[in-house]
Amino acid sequence: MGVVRVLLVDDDVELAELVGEYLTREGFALDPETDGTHALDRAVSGDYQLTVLDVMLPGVSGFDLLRGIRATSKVPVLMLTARGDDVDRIVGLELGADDYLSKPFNPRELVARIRAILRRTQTEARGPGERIAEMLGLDDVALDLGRRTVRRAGAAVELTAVEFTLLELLLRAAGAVVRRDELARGALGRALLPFDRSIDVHVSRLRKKLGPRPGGGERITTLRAVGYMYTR
Amino acid sequence: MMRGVFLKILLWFWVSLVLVAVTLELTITATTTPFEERVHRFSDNALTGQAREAVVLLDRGGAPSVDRFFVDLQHRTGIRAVLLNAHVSEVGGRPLGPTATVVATRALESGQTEMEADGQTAVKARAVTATDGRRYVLVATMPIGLLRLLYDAPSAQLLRLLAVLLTAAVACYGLARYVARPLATLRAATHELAQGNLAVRVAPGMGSRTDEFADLGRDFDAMAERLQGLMTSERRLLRDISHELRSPLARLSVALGLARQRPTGDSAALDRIEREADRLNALIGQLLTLARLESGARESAREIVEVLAIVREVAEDADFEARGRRRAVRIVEAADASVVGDAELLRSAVENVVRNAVRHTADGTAVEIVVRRLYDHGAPGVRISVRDHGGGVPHRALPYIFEPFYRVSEAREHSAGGVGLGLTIAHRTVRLHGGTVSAGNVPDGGLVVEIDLPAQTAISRRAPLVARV
Repeated sequence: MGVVRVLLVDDDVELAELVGEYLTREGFALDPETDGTHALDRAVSGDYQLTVLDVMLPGVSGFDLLRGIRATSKVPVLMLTARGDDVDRIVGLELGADDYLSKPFNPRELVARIRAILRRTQTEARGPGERIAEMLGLDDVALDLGRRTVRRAGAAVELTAVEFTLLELLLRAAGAVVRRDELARGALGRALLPFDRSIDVHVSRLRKKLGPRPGGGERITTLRAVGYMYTR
Repeated sequence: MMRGVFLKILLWFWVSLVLVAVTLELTITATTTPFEERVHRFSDNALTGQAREAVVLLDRGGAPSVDRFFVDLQHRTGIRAVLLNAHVSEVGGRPLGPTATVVATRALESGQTEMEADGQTAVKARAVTATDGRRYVLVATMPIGLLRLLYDAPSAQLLRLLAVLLTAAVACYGLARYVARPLATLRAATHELAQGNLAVRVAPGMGSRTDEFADLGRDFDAMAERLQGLMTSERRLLRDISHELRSPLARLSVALGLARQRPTGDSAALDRIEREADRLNALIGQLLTLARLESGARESAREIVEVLAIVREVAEDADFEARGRRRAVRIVEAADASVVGDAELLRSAVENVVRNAVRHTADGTAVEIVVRRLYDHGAPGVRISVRDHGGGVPHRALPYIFEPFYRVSEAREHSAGGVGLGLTIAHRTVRLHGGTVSAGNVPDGGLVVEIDLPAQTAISRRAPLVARV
């Protein structure tokens, strides 16, 4: 594997220079992009393994950009939000961002997040020969672990990579509680920070996509402050 | 209230119109000859006139000319008349009905107009004396409807009163609606404006009016327009400040990371720079939160929030953080209760209070959290008490600890690492939810902060979440 190329969409040129310098020393190649319309083309071009996207771009909404990227591409997106702006964070995750980091960030943390996302997506993107042709199913939900697709009652359900991994983890332990930090480690590739609600957002989105159980009732039950359980 | 104005205008005008009508009627009745009497007099005169004319005709042309006269009369008025002599027999010798005989006899005796009526017709008789001294009686038979028109005065009065009542009611309803409608429109708009909908305008609801109400509506719209403009620019300013202040901070953080990548750096100094940058960042974040709370710019969600679940989550996270400092966070009493509000805001309020307690509790002690139901003054509520085992706060400082940047003692607060806005944010948030926050010292040491929130009742009032600061 060559140098990992990362696209940074941020209007702050000086910041991009600093981050570029930092990432180069960590073994990444970083291209900055300040223009929103160009950013969309470049992010979906396939030249980059990951896009870091600041949602507070002047002129163009980072969320629109994210929506545009997700319309055609599954390229991993790490979102930069203003600290304490829970709404931005939740909206971003709901639109399909893989993870978020609040700005100002510690560059060490940025590198750790990028590595976690890449680890995750690279396991998913292994060649077809190496894939395990395993199926996982319960009630009306069927997971194809090889193709990473989900069907509910025969109909395909579009899940993001994080949501798919969450569902896989919950289904494997169906009937038992999976702790939130286990889910975070498995699906986000990192430990949960204190006051971090990203797992809850992903689970609630997964719930919405899957709908209720065939007999009615919650598919995934919440155990407050502990974790989640797929109901058997 | 609007129904009040509407009803008041309607009733006042209606009652006064009816009073005017009644008074007018009474005045007319009191100052003029009674209607019946006038009618009476008229019909008396008319009857006497007809009788005299018939007698004169009898004198000149005998019975046939009287008959012609009566045929003509019946033609003109629908009244059938016959002329009788003093022996109560028809002048032409034709037979008479029994009623006519009776009434005619009475009229001859009394000299007055006499009358007899059955359901359909009325029979009136009037005696006259001819120039030669002979007496005659005119008997007139007429349909009762004619008489009723002339004589049914009391029911006619009632009819008139009813007409006045009805027309007055219709007119007053119209007037009341005309006045109350724009008021209702204005009131609804003001209410919505107070709830934070700055896009509300009243001009479309005013139609084509050009009166003072329309002027008021235009002024209201101008006011709303200006408020909306101010609010929008304030929100933009907040967002710009957040962006502009954070950009240099973001660069600083990355530059710091770069410095750390080089092994030659003075790591103690870098640690210090990082700590200060973090503090500055936390301060900006809290200032923005506070500004949003104060301006009401944050579109607060209204959902049912399980208080205990929030407290549990905050306690678990805070406990994890506190362990590093040999401190703990424990829930010692847990009651189930739910409130209506914004879960994220309430979470941050509880978090700020708990973090403050963790900062001030002594090493090796635990922050104790109690969640308890309240039944003060019949209104159910929930109290979250957060108690630390620290030095407490001097009594005179207690009222001020929720004020922005208030520091009990410079040295202590600084080493504890707070930025001085956490409790203020908690205070404003709880007030936004209709609750109260208070602080007090515990006799055996430490501070207790109590958050009281109105609990969600079975029938929850969908009151707006509006800040009353």
